[in-house]
Amino acid sequence: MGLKMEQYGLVLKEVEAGPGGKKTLELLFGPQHPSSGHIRFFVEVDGDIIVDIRPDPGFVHRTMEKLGETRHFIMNVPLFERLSLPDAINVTWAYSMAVERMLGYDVSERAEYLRTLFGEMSRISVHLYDLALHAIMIGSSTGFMYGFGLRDLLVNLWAIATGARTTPTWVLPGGVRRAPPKVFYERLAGFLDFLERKMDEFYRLVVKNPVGYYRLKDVGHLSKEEAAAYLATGPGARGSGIDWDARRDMPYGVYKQVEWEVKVHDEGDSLARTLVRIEEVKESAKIIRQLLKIMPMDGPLIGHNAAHKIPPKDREFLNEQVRMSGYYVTTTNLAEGTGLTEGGRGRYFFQVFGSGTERLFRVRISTPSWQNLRAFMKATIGARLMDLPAIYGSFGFFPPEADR
Amino acid sequence: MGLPSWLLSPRLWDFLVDGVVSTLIILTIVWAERKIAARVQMRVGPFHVSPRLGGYLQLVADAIRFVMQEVIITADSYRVLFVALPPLFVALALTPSFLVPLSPHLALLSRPALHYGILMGIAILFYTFIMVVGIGWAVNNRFAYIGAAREALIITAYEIPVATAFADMFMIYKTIDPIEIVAKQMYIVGAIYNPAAFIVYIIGVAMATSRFPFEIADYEGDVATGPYSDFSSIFLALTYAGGIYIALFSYSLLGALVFLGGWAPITPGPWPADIWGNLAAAAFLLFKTFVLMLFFVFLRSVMPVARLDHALSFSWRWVLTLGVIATAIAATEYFVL
Repeated sequence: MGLKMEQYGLVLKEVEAGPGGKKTLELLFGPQHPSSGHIRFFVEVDGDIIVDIRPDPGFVHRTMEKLGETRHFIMNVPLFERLSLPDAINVTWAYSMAVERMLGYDVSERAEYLRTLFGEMSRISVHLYDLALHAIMIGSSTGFMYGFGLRDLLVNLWAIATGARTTPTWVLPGGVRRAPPKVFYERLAGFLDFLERKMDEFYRLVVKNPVGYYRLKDVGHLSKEEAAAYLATGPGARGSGIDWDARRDMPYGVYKQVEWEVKVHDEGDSLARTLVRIEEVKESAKIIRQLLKIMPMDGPLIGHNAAHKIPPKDREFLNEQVRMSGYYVTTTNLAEGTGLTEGGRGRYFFQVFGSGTERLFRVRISTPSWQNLRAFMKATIGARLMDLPAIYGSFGFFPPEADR
Repeated sequence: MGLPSWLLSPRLWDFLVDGVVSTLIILTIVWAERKIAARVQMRVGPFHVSPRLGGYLQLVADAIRFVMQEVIITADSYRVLFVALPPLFVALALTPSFLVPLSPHLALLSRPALHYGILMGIAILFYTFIMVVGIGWAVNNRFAYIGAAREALIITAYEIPVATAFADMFMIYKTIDPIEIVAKQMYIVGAIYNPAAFIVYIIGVAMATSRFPFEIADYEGDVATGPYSDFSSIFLALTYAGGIYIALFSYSLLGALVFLGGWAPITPGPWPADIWGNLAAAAFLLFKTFVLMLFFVFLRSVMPVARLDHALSFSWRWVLTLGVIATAIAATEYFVL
C-alpha cells in the first residue's frame, strides 16, 4: 500500500529525553484535553510510567494583580472573587481582611459570625466541586453528578442570601453586604442533613467502590517532608500528615467559638487527600450547625469605622443591608495590610499597599493552587499515565486560580 | 395463505427481524443507559427532544447530527484505513447476529453452516476489536496510539477467558449447534449449569466492549477518546458512539443463546405453519439479549474506570483462574450429565 513506516508509527515521534537517557514519548496533555483544565502538561512517558512532567500554566492568566491597581479598591471584590468562583467567600474574605488592616477598620460581631458561616459554606462548595471533578476524572459520572447536584442546592442558598448563585460579592471590608433572610437559615439546616446523607453515598459509590479505591490508593505519593519542601497547602498538605490549618493556627473569624478539628491523614496518597476533603465537608457541616445556634440574629452588618462613612439615612438599614455609597468616597491610606484565610484548596493570602488615592498601589495574591502545582508535579513523577487524572483531581488543582 | 412463497422465506424474515429489532434494541439501550444513569444521578436525562416519549428521539436526533456533520480526515492520518475501518468495524460487529438462529426455524443460514453459527460469531467478534487497534494506528495521533496499544493489551487479556467460557458450555452441551444448545436448556439455563463460565463471560464481554469499569482504551481521563480521538461525524457514530453497542448486541445475543437458554421454554412448530410461535421465540430471545445489555450499560452508573495494569492483572490472574474452575465444572458435568 505504499506505506512508509517512518511516517506512520511512533518511531519518528519518539524523542530522546528523560532521566537515564531513555527513549520516551512526549505527550502534550492539554489545554484542550477533556480532563486537563486550562493548563498544559508536557508529559514524558516511558511505556506506561511518567518519567518527567513539566507544567505550562498561564492559559487563563488575567493579570489580576495589575487589574487590582487600576480600579477603586471596593471594585476589586467582584474582581478577585473570579479567582476561584467555587470558593468566592474565602477569597473575598482574605482581600477584605487585608483592606481592613490597611484602613484600620473593625468588623462587627455579627459580620464575623456570618463570614464564618459563609466561609464554611464556601469550603463545602469548593470541596464538592473538586470531589465532583475528581470523580469524573477517574471515570465515575455518578460522583460528578452527585457533587454538582449537591453544590447546586448550596448555590441556591447563596442566591437566597446574596442574590447571586456563583458571584455573591458579599464580603466587604468591615463586614458583609446583606443579611440573609429567615428562609435561608431554615433551608440551610435541611440542606446540611441532605448533604451529610449524600456524602456517605458519594463515599460508598466512588471511594469505597473497589475500582475507585484502587485508583486512589498508593497513587501519587507525597511524603510529609516533600509536602513541606514543595510548600503544599490545604488538603495537599493535610493528606501528607502536615497538621496545619489557618483557621486554627492563624485564627480569624469565630472559629475559636466552635468545636471542630483539623482532619489530617498521614498516607500522602490520592486516597488520603480525597478523604481529607470528604471529612472536611462533614466538619464544615458541624461548624455551621453550631454557628446557627450561637450566632446573633440581629446587629449591624459592618463595623463602626466602615459604618461611619455610610450616609446617616442609609445607616438606618445597616441591620439588613449595606449601601455601597460610603465605600466609593473612601480612599486608601499610605499603609499596608495582609489577609490570610484557609480556603477549600488551601490558604489564600492577600497583601495590599495603599496609595492615598482610591486605587491601591499594589496587590499581591498568593493562591493555593499555584502552591500545590509543584507538589502535584512531584507526586506525579513515577506514577502511571492513568494515574495522572487521579492525582490531578486529588490536589484539586484549579488553573484559573493558579494563573490569577 | 395466498402470499407468495418468497415472502414467507425464513431467511427473509430472519434478516428483517434481526435488522429491525437490533436497531430498535440498540436505540433503546443507548436511551436506557442515559435514563438509568440519570435516575441514579438525581437528574432527568434525555428529555427535550420528544418529552412525551421521555426523550427517546434524542438518539435519532443525535444520529442525524452525526450523519450531517462534516467529515474531517486529519492530514497525518493514513487515509485508506481511516475511512475503511469504521464501516468494517460495524460490519464485523453486526455479522454474528445474522449467523445464529432466532428460533428453531428462523435462520439466515441452513443446516451445515448453521451448525457452526455460534463458533463463527465468536471468531468474528474477536476480529472486530482488532479493527480498533487498526483505527488507532490509522488515526496517527499519540493518544490514539496509546489507546490502540491498550486495546491490544486488553484483547489479549479477555480473549482466552471468553473463548474458555464458550468452550466450557459447548463441553457441557456436547454440541456446538445453536438449536441443539437451546434444546438442552429447556429446563435449566446454561448460567445455572456453569455459573463460573457465566461470570467469566460477563467480565470478558465488559472488557471486550469497553463497558465500565474497563473503559480503558478510550478512557477520557488521560487519552481523550483513545483510538477514536480524531474521529468525528459518521465515523464516530460507526465506532465509538454506535458500533460498540452493535458489538455489545452481538455478544449479548450469543450469550443469551448459550447462557440464558435462547428462546426456551418456547418451542414453536415448523416455520410457515407456526409463524407467530416462531416470532414469539425470536422476541423472547431478543428480550433476553436486551436484559443482558441492560446489565452491561448499567455498569456505567456505578463504576469508575479501572487502571490498565489492575485490569490486566485482574483478568490474567483471577478471570483466567475462574475460567479454569469453569472448565473443571464443565468437565465434571461432561461425564456426569
